[in-house]
Amino acid sequence: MAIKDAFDITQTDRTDTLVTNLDRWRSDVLAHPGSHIALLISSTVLVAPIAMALLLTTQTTAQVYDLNYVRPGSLETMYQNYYQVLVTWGFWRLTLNTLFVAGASTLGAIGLSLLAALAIVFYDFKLDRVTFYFILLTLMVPFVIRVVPLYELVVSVGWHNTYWGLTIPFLASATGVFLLRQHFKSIPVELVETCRLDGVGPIGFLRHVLIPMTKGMISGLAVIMFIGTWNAYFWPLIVINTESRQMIQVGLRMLQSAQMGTLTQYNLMMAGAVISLLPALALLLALRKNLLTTMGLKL
Amino acid sequence: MSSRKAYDSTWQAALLLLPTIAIFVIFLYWPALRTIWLGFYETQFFGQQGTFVGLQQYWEILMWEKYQNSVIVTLKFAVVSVFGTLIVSILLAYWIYTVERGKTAYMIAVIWPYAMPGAVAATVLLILLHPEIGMISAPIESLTGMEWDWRVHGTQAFWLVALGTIWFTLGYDIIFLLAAFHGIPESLNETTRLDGVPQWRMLVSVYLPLISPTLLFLLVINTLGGFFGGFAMVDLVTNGGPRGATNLMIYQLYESGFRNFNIGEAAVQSVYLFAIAVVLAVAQIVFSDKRIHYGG
Amino acid sequence: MATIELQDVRKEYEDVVAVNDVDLTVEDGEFLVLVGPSGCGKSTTLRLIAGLETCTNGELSIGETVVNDHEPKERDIAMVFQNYALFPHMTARKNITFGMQYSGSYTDEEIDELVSHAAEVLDIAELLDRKPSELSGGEKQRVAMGRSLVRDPEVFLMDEPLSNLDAKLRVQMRTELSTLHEQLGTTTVYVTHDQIEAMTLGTRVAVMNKGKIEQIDPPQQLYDFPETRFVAEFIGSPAMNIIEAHVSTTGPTVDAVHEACSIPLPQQSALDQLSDGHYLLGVRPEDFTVVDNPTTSENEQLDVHVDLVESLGDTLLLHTSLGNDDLQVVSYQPGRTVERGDMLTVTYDPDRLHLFDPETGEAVYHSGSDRRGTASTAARNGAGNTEMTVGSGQSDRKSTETTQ
Repeated sequence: MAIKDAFDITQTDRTDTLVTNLDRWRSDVLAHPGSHIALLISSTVLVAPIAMALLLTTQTTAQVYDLNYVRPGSLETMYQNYYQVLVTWGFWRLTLNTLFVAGASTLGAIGLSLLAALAIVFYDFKLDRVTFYFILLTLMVPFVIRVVPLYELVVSVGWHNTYWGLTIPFLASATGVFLLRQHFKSIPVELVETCRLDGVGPIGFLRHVLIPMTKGMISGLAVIMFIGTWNAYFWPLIVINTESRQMIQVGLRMLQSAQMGTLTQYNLMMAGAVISLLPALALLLALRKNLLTTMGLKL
Repeated sequence: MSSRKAYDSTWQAALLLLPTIAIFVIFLYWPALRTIWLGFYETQFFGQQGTFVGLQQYWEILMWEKYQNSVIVTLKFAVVSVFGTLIVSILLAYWIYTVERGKTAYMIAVIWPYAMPGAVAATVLLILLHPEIGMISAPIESLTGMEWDWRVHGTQAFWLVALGTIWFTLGYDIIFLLAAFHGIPESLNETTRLDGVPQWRMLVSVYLPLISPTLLFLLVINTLGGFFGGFAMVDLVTNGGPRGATNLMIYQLYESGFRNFNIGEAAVQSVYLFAIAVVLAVAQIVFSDKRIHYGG
Repeated sequence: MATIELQDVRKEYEDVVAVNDVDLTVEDGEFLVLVGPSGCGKSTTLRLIAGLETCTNGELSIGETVVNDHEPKERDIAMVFQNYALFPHMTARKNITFGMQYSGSYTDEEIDELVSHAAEVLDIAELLDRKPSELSGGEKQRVAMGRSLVRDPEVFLMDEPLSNLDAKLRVQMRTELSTLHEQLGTTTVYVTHDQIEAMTLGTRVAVMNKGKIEQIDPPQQLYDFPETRFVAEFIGSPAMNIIEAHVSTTGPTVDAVHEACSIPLPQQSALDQLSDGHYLLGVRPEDFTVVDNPTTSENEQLDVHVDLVESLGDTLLLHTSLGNDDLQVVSYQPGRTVERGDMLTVTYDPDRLHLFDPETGEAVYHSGSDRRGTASTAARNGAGNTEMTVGSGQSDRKSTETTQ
């Protein structure tokens, strides 16, 4: 069976009946019982904490503290919890902030990567290889080696506590340039030449030909970049110091101080965690095919 | 002639590359080099013009006991999280590779943590494994009689941070391993299958050697990540404690640089952290060079 | 429509001379084929005309204008590529109209009209809403043609447009291209490595080798009177036999003497200028005839030893040796029983002998050169030549001879 079919989510031919499908399942389970059991257990282990987190968001703080209370609370409580986190604790604001910052840096990084890859692949200039390695080498320079001077720099140009400081330093992406370059190189050069014959310039070629032809990979890259920025914790923690401007992940740290009397409101922390997880997770699930193809899994 | 290029305007190419190159020079290469330089200066607070002390600061930090402990903790953490992630990922990817039904469902069920922020993993585990009211830890505690309190027991705190990190880094490795497994030529597969080799033997003696380039890639990436990851877990759950048991180098750096605002000290730590990670990554590449099978 | 003129055109890449001082004039309305082995510079020449490459040296004009410094779009040309170069994400219609819409100099009605006209000519009307992945190779090539057609250019440039098609489709598209050119009469430069395409399509054919044009002539002329050894061996399949021979002018006749035979050369004006010495004698495999009942008196006979027999269905290709030289002989009697190891007597057509200078490779003598430029080939081939419009390749010649 071809790999192509193996990953098809529907996995059913039109002619397949439910019965033959079940038969196939049974014979596959019988053929590889160990694998199926191991996968079921592992999937459960990996998903269970999130399920439990969801459960806790339906409970009141008192119920969370009650060790014998392990069933769902009420929808009313759940609504209360999320409402409090979103409104009282300002998570709606943080969500919007983070959506904006992650969206802007993703768009910007993809745009700049497209331009750079266009130059490297389709322009004849002497330093194309050097330039490419210069970009690739940045993958070996991790964030931590530059964080201190970078912070200094951001402060000195007045980007401290602004979204400029969160986005501009990360707008260039070696991964983006690398993957797009790989893809562009597979495009027949005759397509560019056709454009030249028609008087379509490089930017027209990028807009009308390259981008439409690279849609899948661009969305895969977008997922990688968006998740990267959405999940960032360290950098916003040190750059942003106004609570209303903060990113959502750092918001989880603020929630740790949610108290009710002497009790920490763990149910609210859980609701915050769920809110912080959802957009990234939804994007991953929605664009999983593009993401996996971009990362080299042939579907 | 093989690489025909369509456009020949050098200045246009330069213009297209300018933003990317400029950002890398200004915000990446330059700060990275400046870090080394900053380590030569002693500063008390941000913005202050430091005094040049040469290598003295590098030496002092090396001799600082708290930092030595931090290095040891980090090395332990890197080993556990790197190999933990890799081994679990290999198993999961291999199991998915062997089954023919439900591949996609299983795959989604195990790679979704790729989207999980470290802060979310930290928050969720902090509560579910809470010493007193943890939904997971409390029943285990009462069943086994074990004393679970990572606020007191360093080892427990360490494992909590390590497990959390493995949890949210798994997805990335699994995706690459699945790609590698499914890149194995079908014919090779059938040959060995016909010979009736047991599954675990196939994994160890056939598949792993075949996908060794991917394994090396992940090992290097995980090692680099292992030294810089785990920050959110430590910051949100253990704050480096108890008694420095989870005081990862990255967390110590944060404390020195952004809590105590001692720039010079933080810069030195950046250099050390980078040096250890790169040395280990390069060592892995060199060491495995002879064993890697790059195919055809 | 326009003439194209290349004067001393040269193209150098770092250390390679791809096109070496080429002079070439393509007449208005002509269908000129550039043919040659890969790497001979034919594609580069085409790309220079298109403006996709810039000349290192020399002057290139289209119409009356020198276009060396003109961008491709300013040259009023259209080009068809071997891999069709269709945009995979656009429908056939969008592919055809993309360039026009981009230029902005056409109204929507004009575009619609031009597209439907081109679609009618090329018979692709019902394919217009499909994407390239839903088209067969031949259909893709038609769409690519359509894209060129709508622009109504001064010049068509085609870079091996049929090479990606299967053999059958290639023959069909070949005739269609011929018809299309007859209808439109647009100046066309066509690059191919396939000599059948060259022979059947070209008004004239330019044979290129190592960046130079070896010969430009109508197809039959190339076949009958190759000016160089390279052309002689490149045009015609199987290739012309070339054997070393000593020419002796001392006797009553001028003879080409080979270790195993001596061939008298028919009198021609060119013969007078020949001096004694070593030459290369060329005879095409199809200009031999196997003699059934050899007579001893006949001196236009050669005795050859059969090394290998290949049956091609309509003919037999005999790999033989004459002395120490290999000689290929085509027999138009496929039923003949010949076996490896047999000795055969063959005779040759005395009007179709060629001599080449061993140093320069240039032709110094054609035994049939009095016929040059006349219609004698038609007489030779008989009247049954309806398939092809221009010239006549060796393929139909075989068919006429088998019926003899």
